Amino acid sequence: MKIINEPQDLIGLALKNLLTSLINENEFKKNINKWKRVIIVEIKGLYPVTIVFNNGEISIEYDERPKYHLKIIITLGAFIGIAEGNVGLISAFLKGQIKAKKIYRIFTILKFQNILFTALKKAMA
Amino acid sequence: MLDVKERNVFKSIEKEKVLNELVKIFGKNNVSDKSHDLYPYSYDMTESPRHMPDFVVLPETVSEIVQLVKFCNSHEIPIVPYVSGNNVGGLTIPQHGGIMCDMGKRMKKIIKVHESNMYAILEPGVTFGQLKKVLDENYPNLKYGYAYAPPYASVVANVLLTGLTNLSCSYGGMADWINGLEVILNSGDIVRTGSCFISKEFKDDNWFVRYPIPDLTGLFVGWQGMTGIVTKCAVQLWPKKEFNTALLAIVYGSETCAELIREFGRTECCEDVSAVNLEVAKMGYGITKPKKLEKEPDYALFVSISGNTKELFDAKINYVTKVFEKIKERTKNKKLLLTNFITFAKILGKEFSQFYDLPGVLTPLYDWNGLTWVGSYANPDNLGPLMDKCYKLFKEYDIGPILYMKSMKSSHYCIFRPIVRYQKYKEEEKVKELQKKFLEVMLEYDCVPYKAPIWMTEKVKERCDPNWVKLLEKIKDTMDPNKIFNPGRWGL
Repeated sequence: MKIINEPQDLIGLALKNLLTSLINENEFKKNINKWKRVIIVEIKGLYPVTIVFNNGEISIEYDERPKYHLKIIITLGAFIGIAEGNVGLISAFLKGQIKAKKIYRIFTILKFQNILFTALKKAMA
Repeated sequence: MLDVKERNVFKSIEKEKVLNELVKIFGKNNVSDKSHDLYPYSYDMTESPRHMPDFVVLPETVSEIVQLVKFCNSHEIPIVPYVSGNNVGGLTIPQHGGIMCDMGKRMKKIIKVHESNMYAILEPGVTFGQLKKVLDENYPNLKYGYAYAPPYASVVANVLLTGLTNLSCSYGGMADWINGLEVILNSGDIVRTGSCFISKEFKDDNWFVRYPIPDLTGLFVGWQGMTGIVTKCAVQLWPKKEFNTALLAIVYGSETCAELIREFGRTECCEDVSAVNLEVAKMGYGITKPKKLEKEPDYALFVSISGNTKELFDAKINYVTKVFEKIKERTKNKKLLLTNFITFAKILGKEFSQFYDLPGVLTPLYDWNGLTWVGSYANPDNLGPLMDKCYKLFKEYDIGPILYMKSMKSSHYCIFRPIVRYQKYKEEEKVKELQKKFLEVMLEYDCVPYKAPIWMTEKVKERCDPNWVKLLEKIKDTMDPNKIFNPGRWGL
């Protein structure tokens, strides 16, 4: 279970910081141990970052890969709101603060949401 | 030890006799002429030329310094006032040898905090960390402004060098916050400036204002210790407000960043408005030579806001946000973002609290053993081109860029500072050349250098009003005819 590369961009570095805080958590290990997904996260107005989950190894890449399982576009306000506990996933979707491509991959969304929310909560503690 | 210059400045007295006199004044435990004690005073983090002092003394009282000054004046021996040597300008390197008067070890009393008049009388050795602790623990309704300086840096030295703090957008530079000074002149006379001049004896309850008398305080501010030795300084304190936050603007484009700095400052809602280029944030992760990637923003801009009531606090945030939205709309810059910095910093990582929890050691600045800058007070209208031109110079010289900008006193003026971290002894020649290029650009845009090292003041003097230089020289000659106070600064 490890992050195998050193991101060079600021959002990538922040995501690395968030995910690193979960590395030793059993639930996180269970969640991603046999998980192969390419997920794009884009903070609206900034730029996309690709997170690759590959059976327990994680890499975080600047910009987006052309092929992915899920792409999430989130406003900075919603991202910060989630971290502060003021914004929930569903309300953010309903208000258009979060948009997803390949939204039919509902289990991928829920699993990634769980990872991200847990990491943000930890960062705020 | 590296080879460091020494020169004999003892024309009228033997060095051994000087030592005996210093021991008489300060006691043998507080005087040294040993090279291992003197060496740390011979250099700093900058590229300024090294030079050894002949002695170091650790004074405890004003009367000891009076005796020192009288003695040095009669024998034309240089005295260099010193506290912690963090000025990043080589300002306390004894270019003509002589005696280091290190007030950082034993003259560090906070003599008085006058709660109702909101000022503190400080000895030169009082540090930012010390003052903050005393105020937080004993005067919870008062605060001082803190610089991006280590907690062990001297408040008084920063004040006298016209430094800036995280309250400078509201209240200007620290020199503006001086109520009064106690100074030892070349004759050994003790003079007090500001409202404390009104009594013949030292009193600690009337240091409440600097004016309306002739501003003799100005004879000692920005002079880099060349006109006298300051032994007490009354600094203004400020009311601490109940509600506080910090915002972060993420910005593409230097002209937009410059406009935001100016306009946020003019709202009169912000205690601090500062910006850095993006690479600085990456340095916070320990990346020594970060590169900005194509799609990344160019600048991060920090704004701190406080208020006594929730209504006032919210109104200030709303107004700043409104100004931001107006600029976003007008410039059609969709990529401008404004958010809560404290939350964002937690997402980025624990290290980022150092950007708002001052005083603090901004660790990226100390990654390497060399640190230098060309600091300046800048015309707010010129910030954009200054940022662009100096950024390009950093790239040209292959040095990781650090640009620091700040709105001062509601944007009446700004700070512009290209900062260079480098490998001391290896990259000095390259850094000197780059510094000269920075200075050329900054003078082209009428910047006024501050904490200027000797090489810089020489360049400034070449192009400034000759009558200004004449007056400077006349004042120096009058106040220090034997050139004992920190000689060499400004070529004097």
